Amino acid sequence: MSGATLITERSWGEGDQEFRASLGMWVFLATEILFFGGLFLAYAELRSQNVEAFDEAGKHANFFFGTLNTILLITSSFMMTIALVCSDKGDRSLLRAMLLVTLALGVGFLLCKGLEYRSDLQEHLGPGRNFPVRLPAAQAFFAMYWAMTGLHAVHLTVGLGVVGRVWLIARRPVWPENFHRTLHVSALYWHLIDVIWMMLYSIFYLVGRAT
Amino acid sequence: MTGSHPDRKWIWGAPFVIWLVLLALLGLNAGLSRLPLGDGNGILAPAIGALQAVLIAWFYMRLKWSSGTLVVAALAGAVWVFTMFLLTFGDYTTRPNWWHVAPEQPTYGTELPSFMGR
Repeated sequence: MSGATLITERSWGEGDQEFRASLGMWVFLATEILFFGGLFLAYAELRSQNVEAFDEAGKHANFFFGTLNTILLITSSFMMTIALVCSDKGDRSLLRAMLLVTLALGVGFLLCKGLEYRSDLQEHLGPGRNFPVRLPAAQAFFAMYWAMTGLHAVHLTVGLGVVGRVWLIARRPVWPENFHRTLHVSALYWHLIDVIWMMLYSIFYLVGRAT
Repeated sequence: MTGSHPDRKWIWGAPFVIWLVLLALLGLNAGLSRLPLGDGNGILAPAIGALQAVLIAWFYMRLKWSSGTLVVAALAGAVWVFTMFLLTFGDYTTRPNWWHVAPEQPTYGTELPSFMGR
């Protein structure tokens, strides 16, 4: 028996509550994908017209914090998945620990993001005068950067509340009947934050590095 | 339940492998961004990011083990975003001027949009 097999142990029939909860969450996540999708399209359009300026601006994005935050989020998704498998297996103590680690990694992400923003502002990369990049279109890059990473941080903050709530429920001596369902839909939301970050990292922190 | 839960060795298996693959792809993406690949840099980075996103959705979000209805719901957003890109760039890239924008003449921030100048 493999780990993959264990994940499939809990099968969802189309009529049960868990399926309906998952479907509802996925429909909500689709609206989130569309919300960010419009911003990604705006970025792509601006970059297609201003490749040189975007490459130049991309060199000013903080590669270290961007990469560190990616590692933190990937690991938090891993921890959340373990928590879900723990719920499948009835391993309560490990589940609580995994949720706590997920929360800690999320808080770590926000702390790094704060340090990164402070560094950006010290370099005058925020709105205002003394923007350091010569090409005017580089300001469009950073307009998108602040908007999209800021919105992502808001989503992550909401995610911390969602996961924190599940952790509080998991600490109860007796779990409610719908606990696994609550955990699953909460995990879906948390993973989406990771999914969106994968794209944000590749368009903001990796462009222009080779030029 | 205690720390010596008998099934714990199985809990970590598959998710751990996916975690390693995601980190390896992150390293690959970061490494490739340093190589001068021309236009390839602008395509490879989001492509690898998208691959990581798909892996998270497929395994960590359990789409692999979900019913077809859930997969369709999950794909709905992505399909519409793809459609938006297709319509926008399907038009843009077939315009005669699109391919001739000189890099030293950025179109944003240097002149008023046409609708403001008329």
